[in-house]
Amino acid sequence: MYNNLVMGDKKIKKTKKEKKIKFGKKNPKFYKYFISLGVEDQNKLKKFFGELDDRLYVLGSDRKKIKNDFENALIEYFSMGFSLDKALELLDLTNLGGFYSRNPDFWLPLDEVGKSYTQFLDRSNMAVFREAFYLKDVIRPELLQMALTFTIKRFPYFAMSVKKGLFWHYLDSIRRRFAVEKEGPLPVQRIPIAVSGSKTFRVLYYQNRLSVEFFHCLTDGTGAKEFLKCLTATYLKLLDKPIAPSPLVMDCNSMVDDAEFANDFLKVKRKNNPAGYINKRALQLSGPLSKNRPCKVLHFRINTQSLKDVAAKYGVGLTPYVTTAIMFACKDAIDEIQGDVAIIMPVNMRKFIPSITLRNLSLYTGLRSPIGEIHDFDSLCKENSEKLKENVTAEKMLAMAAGTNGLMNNMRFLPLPLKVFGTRTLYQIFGDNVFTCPFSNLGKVDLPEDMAKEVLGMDFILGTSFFHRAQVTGCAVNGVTTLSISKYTKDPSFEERLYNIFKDDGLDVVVEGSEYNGN
Amino acid sequence: MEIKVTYPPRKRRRKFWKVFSFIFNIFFVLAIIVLPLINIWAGGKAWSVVAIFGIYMIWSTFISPSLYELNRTYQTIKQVLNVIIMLILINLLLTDGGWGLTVIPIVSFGGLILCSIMFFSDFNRQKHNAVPFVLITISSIVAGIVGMFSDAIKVKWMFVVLAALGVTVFVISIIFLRKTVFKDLRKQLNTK
Repeated sequence: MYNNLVMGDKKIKKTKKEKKIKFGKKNPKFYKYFISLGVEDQNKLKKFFGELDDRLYVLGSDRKKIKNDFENALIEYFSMGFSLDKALELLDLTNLGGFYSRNPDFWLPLDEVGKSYTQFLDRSNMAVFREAFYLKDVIRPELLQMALTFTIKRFPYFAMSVKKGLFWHYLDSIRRRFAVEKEGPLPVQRIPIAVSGSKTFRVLYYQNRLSVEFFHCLTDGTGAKEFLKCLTATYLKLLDKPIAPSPLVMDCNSMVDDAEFANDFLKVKRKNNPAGYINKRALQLSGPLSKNRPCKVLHFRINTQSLKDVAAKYGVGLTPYVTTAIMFACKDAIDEIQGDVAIIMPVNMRKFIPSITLRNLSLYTGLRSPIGEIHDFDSLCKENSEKLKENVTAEKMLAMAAGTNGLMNNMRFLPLPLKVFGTRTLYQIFGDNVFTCPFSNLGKVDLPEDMAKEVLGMDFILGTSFFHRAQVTGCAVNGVTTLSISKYTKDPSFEERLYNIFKDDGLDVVVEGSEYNGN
Repeated sequence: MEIKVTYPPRKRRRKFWKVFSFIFNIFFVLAIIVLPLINIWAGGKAWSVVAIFGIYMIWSTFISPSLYELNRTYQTIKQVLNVIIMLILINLLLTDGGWGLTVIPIVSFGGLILCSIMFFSDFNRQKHNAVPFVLITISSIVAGIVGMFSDAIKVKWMFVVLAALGVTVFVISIIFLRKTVFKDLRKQLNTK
């Protein structure tokens, strides 16, 4: 509508409807800014918003909100001392692509892992995980909002809503304004997905932390990592800190590859062999389960090289060392003297299945040890290292993928309510119960040089549990490894023992986290 | 272990709804056990079934609403179906019957009008929930036709209205929705 007011130098007669619209009426701050500009700049803005209006073709009430986001971003640029030309250049409308100009006509069946996450969703448990970058400067929400508006078109397979079919849940594409939110006191809380057009992920900010939280049915750690990297790069570009093209980070304006949203579990031929799913019960950490889930999060920040050096002293890699430390911490937090301590570890199947998919493509392996045999750190480290080498092989992991495909295939004609009941019951028997504590390691996150300068650290947090009192995750960026612990009990034995193990090994651990949030 | 707090300060959460839903859940479970026992002990008509279904209606609407598809189309259809089931239960279990054949079709076509208003007044968003709406429309047509041709039913105008309304809404839906219904049906019936 705005470009009808001035189009080049040629004035076009206003229609009755257009006369009613007053520029900046809904946003007094922007109106003040607008009238402070010269006529030429005002015309540039009118032209800009006219083009914007054309690009927001399919949105209903969200159209106004997106325009408001642009207005707020322009005010932010003004307060940062950017000229209007520079601001308009950074907010170039080609960044919107055609995402908001066409109706969504795209749906996806869930992948084999996503199917189970939608089925054991209940009122107190939702498989949500978070990945977050700590930037050098405090986040500017107005520009982060624009970054998200520009980035989402690169990931149309994340702009989805979960819907219920007769046999399976499925993902249906949505067009809406994806709003950034200010963080609450606890991460990985439920994402409300019930209402029509609900999003299945969220972007949050707090001080210098930029976080993305995903419902696990949509993607795994790898997909979230790529999204977070792309979003951060777009945000930095909007701050006029350009990131040179790099294979390490996606450009928000690059083409979407169909292989990115392929269900690559199906590349493995299915077999009717549920190997790896059934195991005996493991011991659980002591302490009453909290009502708030999680009730606390902790981050242990350790220098990656020091951690590697300590692990090398035991003659193992970083993962077996940390896993052994977790087992010892578990032992300290368990009252029972008989039974097994078992650690579940997700395995990125992209190592075994050639894939660039950004949807779920991970399974898991486990390490198990009788609690009575957890006493010699050195030998347990070596034993765990050997077990990991034996368990995480292409042959075993592909067999598990084949079994998963077979299981899902056998269930396909069962009505959804029956599947939900069955899966939830089985999960409560064979799911959380057969492991003491999960340890999910995202590994080293590589960033392009321009971006690495701006990123101070990273977090990765898991947020679902029926019985586990603690969940551990790990990731490393810029030479700092962060081990995060989501707590589901007030009992501090686990984290204190883990801290002491690292301290005793001479590691310098910086601990950050949240307060306890009720029990 | 020194912890540097890097998260927003905690807020006091209102616990009223949590406590209320907890109490209601206990009340609901107790009702399922106790009401049939009292009913059997006291004898007479099976009022406990109606009472339990009534409590279930409140529970499923307010205490434990759907985790998926909590949209106006699904929810209105769900409530209309609940009311119809409730009327059938009252008709069969608590009264001498007869009135149900008059009242239930009237409530049904009232419900269909309500569902149509809910669906078409937010068409752009609700068209993605077309399948249950079309199914309820087809069900109304079938119920209307069965009622119209049933010898056991003497007063038939409400069935005629139900069937006619069903056909009208169905035709309007098809005109507006076209391929969307078939696309949505494909999604709903997907077995992959």
